[in-house]
Amino acid sequence: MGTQQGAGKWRQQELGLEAVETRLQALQEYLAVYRASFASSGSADSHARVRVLRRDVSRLRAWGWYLIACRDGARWLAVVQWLARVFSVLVVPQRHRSRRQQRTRTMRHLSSYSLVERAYAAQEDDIQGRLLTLRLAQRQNPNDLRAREIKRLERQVDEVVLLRLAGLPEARQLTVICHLLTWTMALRSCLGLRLPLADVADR
Amino acid sequence: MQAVTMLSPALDSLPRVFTLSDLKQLQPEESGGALDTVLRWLEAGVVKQVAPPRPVFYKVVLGEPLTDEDRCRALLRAFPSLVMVAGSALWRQGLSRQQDSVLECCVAETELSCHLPDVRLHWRPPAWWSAIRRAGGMAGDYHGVPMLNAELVLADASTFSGVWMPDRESVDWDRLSTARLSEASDYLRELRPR
Repeated sequence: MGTQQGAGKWRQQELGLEAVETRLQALQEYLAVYRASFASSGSADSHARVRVLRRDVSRLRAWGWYLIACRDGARWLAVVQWLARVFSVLVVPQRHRSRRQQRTRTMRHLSSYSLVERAYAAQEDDIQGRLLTLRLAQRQNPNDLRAREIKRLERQVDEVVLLRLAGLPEARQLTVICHLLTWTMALRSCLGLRLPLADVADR
Repeated sequence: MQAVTMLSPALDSLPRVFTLSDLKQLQPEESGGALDTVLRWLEAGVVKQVAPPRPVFYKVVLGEPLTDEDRCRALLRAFPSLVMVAGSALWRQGLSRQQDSVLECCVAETELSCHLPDVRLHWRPPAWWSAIRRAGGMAGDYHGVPMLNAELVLADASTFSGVWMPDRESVDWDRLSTARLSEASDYLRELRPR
């Protein structure tokens, strides 16, 4: 039972990390285009988008680092979690509309919680997209290999949904964790140390 | 169109191009239901997946082909790194008298299959976007899709093969700068496939 729970938790951590990496890759691609547009036009709109995206990338990368630490059982994790509990009372909760619902076309700041939640929701959509493609092919031309892959993806969707709905810390604690680790990463960068998830974020 | 409405009233309330997450927002109480709904629509042929397996779709309406705006919106939602290149960018900037028949775009993703009509995607290495930034090589956008400037279009077409370019005499050479063209070629030279 304990082993099953451990395996389930490990799988959830891996899925969470995969969601963060996939989203980071997409954000990096948006950032590359916006930076190129800003370099050519110098427009305030492009500049604002670049700034917002850079912030999003840093915070998501920080969350990815936290997930890696959870998976690897890093010793500093207890300190970060304690700090998150202590400082979370200072975080003012934000009332947010999603970017999709915002009226203006300019990108606005998302809370750390929304950012992470969106990464998990995007992963859920991506897996479901793959599932659709496979199910369509399966109905036209059934085979066992594809049936097994469909089952595996269906399980993954359930796990990501569970992770998004019940696997995240309280919003204010998550905000503190993201900010603490973002500052630590900035410090590491100043000291010339290698950053976590650098291979994903520096594509 | 009547058949489309009978399949589900939700399809009518969606824009011509939509994502799975748009549909989930319409049916928030049953996100698993959204998947089944789209599968039913795909089987009935009333929607198509823009670039499988990405969860972006467009509605198929007989006699109403997708407009340029729809195609651009669909591509932008499926490919974050999208940039318009080649003859498509030249035509839309008024630098060529020969219109493209296929929209030519570049993406960083390696999976290039796309079910949109009259669209051709080309892969470019991630360093390409950095080179474009250093060269200041964008010239505005077309329905949100960023376009390469004329000099970069020519440099890109000579560096990477396979993109459509208009005939030489159709290009308005007077509006191109030789100095900027040479600079653009320098930026892309190191990316030339060996």
